[in-house]
Amino acid sequence: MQYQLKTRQICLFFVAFLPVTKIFMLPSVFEKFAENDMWISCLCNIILDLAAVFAMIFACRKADTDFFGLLKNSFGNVGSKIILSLYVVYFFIKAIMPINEQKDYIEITFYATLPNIFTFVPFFLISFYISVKKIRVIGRCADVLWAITSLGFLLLVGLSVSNVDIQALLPFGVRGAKSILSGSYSALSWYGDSAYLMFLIGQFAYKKKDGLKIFFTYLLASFAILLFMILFYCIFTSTAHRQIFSLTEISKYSSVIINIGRFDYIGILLILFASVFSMSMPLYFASLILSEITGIKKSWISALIINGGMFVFLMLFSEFFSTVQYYIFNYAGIYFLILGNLFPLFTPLLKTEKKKNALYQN
Amino acid sequence: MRYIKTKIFMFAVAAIFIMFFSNDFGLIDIEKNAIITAVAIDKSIDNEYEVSAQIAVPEASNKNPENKKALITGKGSTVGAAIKNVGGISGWFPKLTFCNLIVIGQSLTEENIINVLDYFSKTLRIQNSALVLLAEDSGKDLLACTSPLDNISSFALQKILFKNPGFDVDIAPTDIKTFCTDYYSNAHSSFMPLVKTVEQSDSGQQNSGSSNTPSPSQTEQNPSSSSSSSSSSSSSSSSSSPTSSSSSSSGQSSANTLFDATTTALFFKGMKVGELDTDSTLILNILTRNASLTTYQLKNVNENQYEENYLITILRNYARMDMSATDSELKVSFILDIYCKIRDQNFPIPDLDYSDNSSLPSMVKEKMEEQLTARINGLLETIRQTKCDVLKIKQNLFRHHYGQYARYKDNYLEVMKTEVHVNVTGQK
Amino acid sequence: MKLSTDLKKNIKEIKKRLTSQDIEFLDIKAGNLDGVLIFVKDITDKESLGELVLRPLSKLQGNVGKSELSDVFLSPEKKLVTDTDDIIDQVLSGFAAAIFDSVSEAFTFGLIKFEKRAITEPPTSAVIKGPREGFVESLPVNISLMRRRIKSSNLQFENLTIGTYSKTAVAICYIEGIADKKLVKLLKKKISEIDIDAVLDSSYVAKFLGEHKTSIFKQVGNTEKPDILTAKILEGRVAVFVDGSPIVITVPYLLVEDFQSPGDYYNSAYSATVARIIRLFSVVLSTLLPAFFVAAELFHLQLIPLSFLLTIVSSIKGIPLSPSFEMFFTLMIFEILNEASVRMPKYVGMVVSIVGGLVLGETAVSAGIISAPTLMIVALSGICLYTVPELEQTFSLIRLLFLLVAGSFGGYGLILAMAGTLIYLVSFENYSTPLFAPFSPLIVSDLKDGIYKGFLIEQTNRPESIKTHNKTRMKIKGEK
Repeated sequence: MQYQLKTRQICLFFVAFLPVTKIFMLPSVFEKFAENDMWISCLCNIILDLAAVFAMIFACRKADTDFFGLLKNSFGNVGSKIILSLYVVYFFIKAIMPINEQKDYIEITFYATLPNIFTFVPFFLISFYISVKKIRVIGRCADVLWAITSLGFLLLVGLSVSNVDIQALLPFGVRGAKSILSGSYSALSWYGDSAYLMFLIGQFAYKKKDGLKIFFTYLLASFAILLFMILFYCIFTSTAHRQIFSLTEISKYSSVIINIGRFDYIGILLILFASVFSMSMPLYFASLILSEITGIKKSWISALIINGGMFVFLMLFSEFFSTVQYYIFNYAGIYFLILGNLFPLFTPLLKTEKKKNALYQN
Repeated sequence: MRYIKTKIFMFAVAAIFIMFFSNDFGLIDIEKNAIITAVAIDKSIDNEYEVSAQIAVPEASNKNPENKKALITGKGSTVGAAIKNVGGISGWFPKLTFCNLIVIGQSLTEENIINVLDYFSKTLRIQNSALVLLAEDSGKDLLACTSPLDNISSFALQKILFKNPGFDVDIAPTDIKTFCTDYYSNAHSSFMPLVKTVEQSDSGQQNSGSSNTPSPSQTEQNPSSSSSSSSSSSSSSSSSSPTSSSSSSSGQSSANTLFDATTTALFFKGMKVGELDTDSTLILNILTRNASLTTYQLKNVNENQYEENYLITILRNYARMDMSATDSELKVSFILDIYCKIRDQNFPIPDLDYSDNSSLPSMVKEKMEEQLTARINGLLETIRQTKCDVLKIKQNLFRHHYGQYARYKDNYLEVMKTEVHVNVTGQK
Repeated sequence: MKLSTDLKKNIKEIKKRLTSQDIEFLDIKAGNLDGVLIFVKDITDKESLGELVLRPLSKLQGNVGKSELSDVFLSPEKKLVTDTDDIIDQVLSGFAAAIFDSVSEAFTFGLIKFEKRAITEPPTSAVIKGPREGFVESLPVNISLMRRRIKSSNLQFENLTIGTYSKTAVAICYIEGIADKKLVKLLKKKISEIDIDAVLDSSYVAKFLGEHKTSIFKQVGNTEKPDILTAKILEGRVAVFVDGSPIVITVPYLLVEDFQSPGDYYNSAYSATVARIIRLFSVVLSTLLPAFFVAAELFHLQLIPLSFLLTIVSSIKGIPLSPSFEMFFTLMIFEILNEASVRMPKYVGMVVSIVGGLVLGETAVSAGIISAPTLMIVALSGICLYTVPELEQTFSLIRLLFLLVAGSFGGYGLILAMAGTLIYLVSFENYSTPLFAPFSPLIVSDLKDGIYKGFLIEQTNRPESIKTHNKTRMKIKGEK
């Protein structure tokens, strides 16, 4: 079995790609439901994801084939294809919110008068380009992007810290379980990144303590998001829900910015750069799975189907996106929960290579 | 396949070249953008919003090194419509990104101010960090002033409002975000600086305009003999010491205007409910912000023997609010610790004292503590009267005594018992 | 065709093919044997020919056979050739060939004498501190420069000849026991497969060694300095010398190589690190600055600080060109000046600098054709790129591409173009070596000679980025 990735790359994958898509619109979504308890909502999502990661680490430990192989061993050819088809849809829907929010972000904050099509179409060329690449390239991208994400993130957080009123989080838990869980439920579309790890099973040589490394980097990335959520609320408090794009807003009240100018844009641009890759990940995995299901050898065909499909979808529904958002928030959550969080919990139970069974039978 | 790839590549390059050279996709030429540096909002007689946009009009660099400004007023039934009207009548695309100042005219204080500020709070086309201030009269007139500080009045106003560390914190500035956050908070209480114009004549002498504020030079030469004062003056203040916020000029222009922003307008539920004078503004700042290097004037320390006046620099200030809420009582204590140093006095002191880092004279300490306590109590009284909770007492109640919040949220200002503890330490 | 014992027939056959007038056919005699000496007049050392070949021949008397002939010649580079094709090839390479009647073998002597350039410091990699020797156009001289530095039997040279007409000598150089054998084998295969009329420079060979034929990125490294080459082959790289070229090719190539200046290894690690950061920053700045400026001017005014924006607006007032076209135009003028100054003789070069820099720039700004900020940005961008001269051509193309994208799609387009470039770079491999190593894949130990320059004593192992058979290059006393 030839491994395409190193454990280091898996760890950096999470550091590079996890935080960036969650710091555009998600903070205001959380705030809308849970107000000063938004960080608890966020924590709930993190716990769900970490549980899935924990389970998958066990699967990685014993896996002697990739996830496709594990599914085939456990559910047979047809069964595995059905499950994989569900994951194609999962990743496709998972991509909608981050891509659309970024499209809006670019249009509203970066371009004043330009028609939509010009600003965002090129993104699909890049996501297509990423989708045709082997998983090894994704690992290599993570090798570089973790530094870019970290730098951008630290710059924005560093600039915003001075304006934080940390007591704004008090009193804890007063918004009630319903509000907190509603926030978590609505945010499921952004979370469930642990599902990526499923498709990375068998792509790297699992060594002792690798599980610990993966778990802790995932934890680190998740807590970076949590920190951002806390900072966000503590800066904006009662008007947090109005800040649709927290990325641009969070750091501009620093006295350094006021005196020197908006050099926080350096951090914003770094995050935007990393988010191009991060947004492409669901599309990449959807293309990868589609190739596996259909047996298409040429990766560009499945990449074209998925990326072209997403482009057409967003263009068609651009004027009715609030409806799409409503359905994703209210109805798709359960789908995300099952495929992104619950199914991964059972991956350690998937059967390993058939050969072993055959040998045993012999 | 390779042939197709080459064709696609050639097509893409050709398309990019066409787009690059044509720029024909809805772009607005940089010169057609109106770089709005400030807006003033007033209400007209016909009950419409009047938005006056101060636009920086850069001159060709080889002609004039200084930038010109234009003040264009648009009208509309909403603020957004009025801004749109500015673009309509000027032919410029109103670019609010650089607008860092919003001047509210007095005429708008009769309605909920949030009707105006919400537009700026919601739109992403303006920075939420833009400063907000209340003009003494018309916002447009304030922006139309010519100031020796900068040929663009909004820049001059920003110089007054944004003070770098090292200056006196005698102004309570606010921005859109802070104002709206305070408005939407539990206490619905917010504030903004009230800016008054101070006319200065050619000779360098300052004639008070609408406020009877003496010029810095005058006041420094003729210190008032009133009981005591902070470092700033205002019409509402009993003192008449120098106006630190109104910087003096060398008197380049015949109609030079300086600005005094040391008074603060208070808002409750978006309505203007009162003002804080210079002294109260200073106290508000000392209680809520880092006020290091702020100067404080202490007068008549030794009333019976000799008139001893001091200029004291605050080196460190630490303020906190302690609250205890029970079913029967709501008690709020304000604790203020100040460490300061005497910078100047109006009588000679022995040379030896200069090198002696001895502690603050007890008379000075006592007088200062007494004065600060009185002013904090005065501020609390203003809060009670106006219901504008600028000290965020209600927020504290919500955050730290949530169990009693429901009991006191509506009457906390009436029932709360307050205590003030001021501790002044320092050196000569 | 095999040589026969009939001299006349052999000579007739050779003369039929060597018709050029600079080829001399000199009748000689060895005892009772008639013979002909064939050589190219202008490239043969006639003095050595007389001393080492003709004088000993004249001493032979009576019956002379093949064995006598073999012993008489004093030339150290002596070969026996049996084929007319080989004789012709060797004569054209500067050898002299002696053919005798009734002997079916010819003797060839290496008596080449070319005019050679002196060993000087290469202009492209001048150093303040460190060796100043540079390679020259002569392969033997270049080999001698390497041998002087590595006196090990493991230093291997494998000779090949390429070019249908040029018959250019090529030597593959590596250190046995360090270099990857598979790489050497693959290189030999690739070079021997080159079928071309002539190889005029090593860059010809380089084109054939790259695995991505249409890439704008360099795929092989090169150097003109023997000290650099020594360091490179000691890291496990394989070098290709081409006769007639002072530039030696090295494979595999890493992008980071070009940020490593020779001076870095002779100066302190601290100053080398600062210099490398400056180089990296300069290349990034140079590539992105014009594009970013145009994107900001056209689409994102908010990215420009207000005071600077006012300066820009005041400087572009009355300029007839759009910001994107203005930048493109200025950049083109810069490239024209650059091209002209490289091609022009040195004494005219100064004039071009003055005319281009002062007269054209100043006049264009005051005439209102271009704005001062644009001119300054192009000048800064141009200068910055020369901190890494090896990458100047590649990155000036990327700069142009980014400018086109930024002018068409704005800042987000620029971000996407950068993302595309990153994906391309990280997926780019040549000879199974990732171009972007040690950054991607991240090889922490190799970063010591990447962005920062570690201390020499820290670099105990050869780079992990390059496949080698022996990882250790330094043992510190006391360490096992």
